[in-house]
Amino acid sequence: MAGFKETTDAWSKVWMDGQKQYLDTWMQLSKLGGQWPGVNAPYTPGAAGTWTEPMQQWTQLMTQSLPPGSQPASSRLFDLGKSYLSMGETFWRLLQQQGRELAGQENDWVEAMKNAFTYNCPHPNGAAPETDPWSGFATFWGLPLNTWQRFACSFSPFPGELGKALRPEDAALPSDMTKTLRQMLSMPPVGYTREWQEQTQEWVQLYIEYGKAMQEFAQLLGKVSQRAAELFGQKLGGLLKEGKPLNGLRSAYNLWIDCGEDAYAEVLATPDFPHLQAQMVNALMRLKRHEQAMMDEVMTAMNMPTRRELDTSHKRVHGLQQQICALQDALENLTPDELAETEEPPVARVAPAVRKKASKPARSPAKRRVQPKKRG
Amino acid sequence: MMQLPLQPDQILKDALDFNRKLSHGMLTLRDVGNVEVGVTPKEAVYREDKLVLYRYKPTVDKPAKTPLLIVYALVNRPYMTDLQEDRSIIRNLLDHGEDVYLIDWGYPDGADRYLELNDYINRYIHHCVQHICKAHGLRRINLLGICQGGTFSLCYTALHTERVANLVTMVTPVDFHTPRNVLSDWAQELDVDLLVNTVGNVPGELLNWSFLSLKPFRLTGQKYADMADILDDPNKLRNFLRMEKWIFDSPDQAGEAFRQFIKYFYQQNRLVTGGLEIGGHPVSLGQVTVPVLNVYATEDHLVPPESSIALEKHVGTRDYTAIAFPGGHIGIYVSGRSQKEVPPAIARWLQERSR
Repeated sequence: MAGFKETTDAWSKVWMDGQKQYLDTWMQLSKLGGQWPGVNAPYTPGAAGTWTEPMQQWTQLMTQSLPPGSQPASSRLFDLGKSYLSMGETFWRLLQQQGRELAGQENDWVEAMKNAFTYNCPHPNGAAPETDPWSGFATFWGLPLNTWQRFACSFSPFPGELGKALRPEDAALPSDMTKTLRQMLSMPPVGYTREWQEQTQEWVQLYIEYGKAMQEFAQLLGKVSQRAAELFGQKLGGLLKEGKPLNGLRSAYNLWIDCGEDAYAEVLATPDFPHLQAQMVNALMRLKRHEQAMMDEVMTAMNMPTRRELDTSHKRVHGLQQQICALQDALENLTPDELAETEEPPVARVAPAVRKKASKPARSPAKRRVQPKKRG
Repeated sequence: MMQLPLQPDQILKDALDFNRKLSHGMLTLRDVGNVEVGVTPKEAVYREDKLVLYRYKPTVDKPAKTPLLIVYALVNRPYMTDLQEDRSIIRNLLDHGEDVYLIDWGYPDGADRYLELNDYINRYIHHCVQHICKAHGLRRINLLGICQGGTFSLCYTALHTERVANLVTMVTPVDFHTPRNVLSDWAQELDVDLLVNTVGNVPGELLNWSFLSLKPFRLTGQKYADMADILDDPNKLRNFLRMEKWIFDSPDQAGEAFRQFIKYFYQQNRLVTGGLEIGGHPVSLGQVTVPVLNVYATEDHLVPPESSIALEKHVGTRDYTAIAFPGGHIGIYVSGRSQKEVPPAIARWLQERSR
C-alpha cells in the first residue's frame, strides 16, 4: 500500500503535468490568434497563477470576436467555466494540502468539501465570505440576488456605482448608528433649499429601506447556500459509505446543483420567500419613484420635457385611439336602416350640396374599416 | 485504505478536458454564426400599431377551410412555435392540413404604455379575426391560444363567441390560485400599481429574472455546463443557441395590460371567482360554449397542470377534451415527442369538428 508521501508526490507530478498541459492548451489557442481579431499576444501567466486566470484573459478577448448572436451565451458559458475551474482548483488544493491531516477520516473529508462549497471560494465582488450571507460557490451560479442587482442598476437614473458607494449594507449598521442616522434624516429642513433638502432626506431614507429589504432577502437566500452545503455533505457521506466516491469533477458539480435546487425549493416553499422578495421589489420601486420625481423637478427647472409630461401625452393619445376604435366599431355595427339615417342629416334638407359633403365623414371610416390592411 | 471523495488526477483530467472543450468550441462558436429562428415561409397580411399578423404558406394542396389563428403570450416571442425546421408546431400543423395564422405582438415601447387588456383582446385579436374571416369569407375561425395567449383566447371567445368555431388552449393558466403556483405566490404581495407607475412598461429583464429565479442552479449554471458538452457539434450548438435566444428575447410588457393581468388574474383570480371585465364587458368562462381542446404539460413549472385542468370545471361548453402531455412548459413546444404528438392531435381534433 502506498504511503501518504508517495501518494502526494504522485499527485504533485500529476499537478505539474496537468498545469503544463493546461497552459499548452491556451498557448495552442494563442497560435490561432491570426484567426481571431484582437487576439495576437500569447498568454503570459500573471502572479496569481490560478486555474481561471489564463481563461479570464482569453475569454475577454475572444468573446468580442464571436458573432453577436453567440456572445451572450458564450459569456455565460465562460462565466460557468470560471466557476467550474475554480471549483476544481479548490477541491484539488483541498486534497493536496489537507490530505495529510484528513487521511483516513471520511467524515472530515465530507466536512472539508462542504466548507469548500460554502466558504473557500473567492467572492466575485470582493466581500469576505464570513460577512456575506450569500458567499461561496453559490455566488458564482448567478443566483437570484446577483441577477436582481444587475437588473436594479440597469434602470436607475443614478449611476450604478452610486449605489455601491452608498453601501446598502449600511442598513445593517449597529442599531444605535442606524437610529442616529434616521434621527438626523428626520431633522426638519429649513431655509431657501428646504424642499430639495427634504426630498434628499427622503431619498436616503428610502435607500436605507431598500438596502434593508435586500439584505433580508439575501439572508434568506443565504439559507439556501448553507442548506445546499448540508445536503451535499449528507449525500456525499452516503455515497462514500456505500463505497461510491464521486467519479470526477462533473459528478461533484452535478451533485452540488441537485443539492442547490433541493435546498432552494425548500426555501421557496416557505411564506418568507414571496414576502421578502415582494418587499425588496416594492422597496426598490418606492426608491425609483422618488428618484423620478426628483429628476422631473430638475428637468422642469431646465425647461426640459419630463417623464410626467410624456406619460400625460401617451395617455391622451391612447384615450383618443380608444374613442376612434369605439366609433369605428359603432359604425361597423350599424344596421342598414341606421346607416341610411346617417346619410340624411338634418342639414341636408337645407342644402343638398352640403349634404353630400356632410355624409362623407360618416361613411368613409366605415368603408376604410371594411378592408383594412393596416391600422394604427 | 482511505477513501477519497474525488481522485485528484481525475479533477485535473476533467479540468483539462473542460478547457479543451472550451478552446475547441471557440472555433465552432465562431463558425456557427448568428442563428435563425422562425423558419417556415410566411407573409405579413395585416398590421396594426406594432402587431403583425402572419399567414403561413400552406404545405398541402387543400388546407382546412377554417383557418387556425395562433395567439401567443405577450411574454417572450412567438417564434418559439416555429423555432427550427424539425421543431416547429406551425410546420407540423401545416403538414397536417391546417391553414395557420399567427399574431406577432412586437416589442412595446413607451408609447404603448397605456395599452390595456381591452386593446389586446377586443381590438388587436378581434381585428385579426375579422381580417381572417373577411379574407376567407367566413363568419368564424379556429383559435389556438398558448400560455397567456390561451387566457386571452378564453376571454376573447367569451366575448365574441360568434367569431370562434373551435378553441384550443395550450399550457394555459385558468385558475391562478392552485397550490404550488410559484409565480402566483410571488405576485400576491407585489405592489403592481407602484411597479407600473414607476417603470411604465415592465422590463422584459424583470420577467427573465423571475423565470430564472424558479430554478436558478439549473438555469444559470448547469445548463451552460451542458452547453460545453455540445460545443463540438455545430447542429446541437445551433439548437442550444436558438433556445437561448428565445429565452432572453423578452419584450417589455405594456404597463397597463401588465397591471390588469397581475391584478385581475394572478392576485384576484377573477377568471375563476368571477367579476372579470374587459373593456367594460363582463367575462365568464361559462360564456365559452364552443368546443374546447385543452392541452397541458404534466411537468409544467410555470403553469402548473392544475391551473389548466381547472378549465373543465368552469367552461360552458359540452364538448371539452383535455390532453395531458408528459413534459414541461418548454418541452411542449420543442421536444421530439411533442412534435410527434401535439400538433397531430390538435389537427385531428379540429378536423373531427369540421366535418
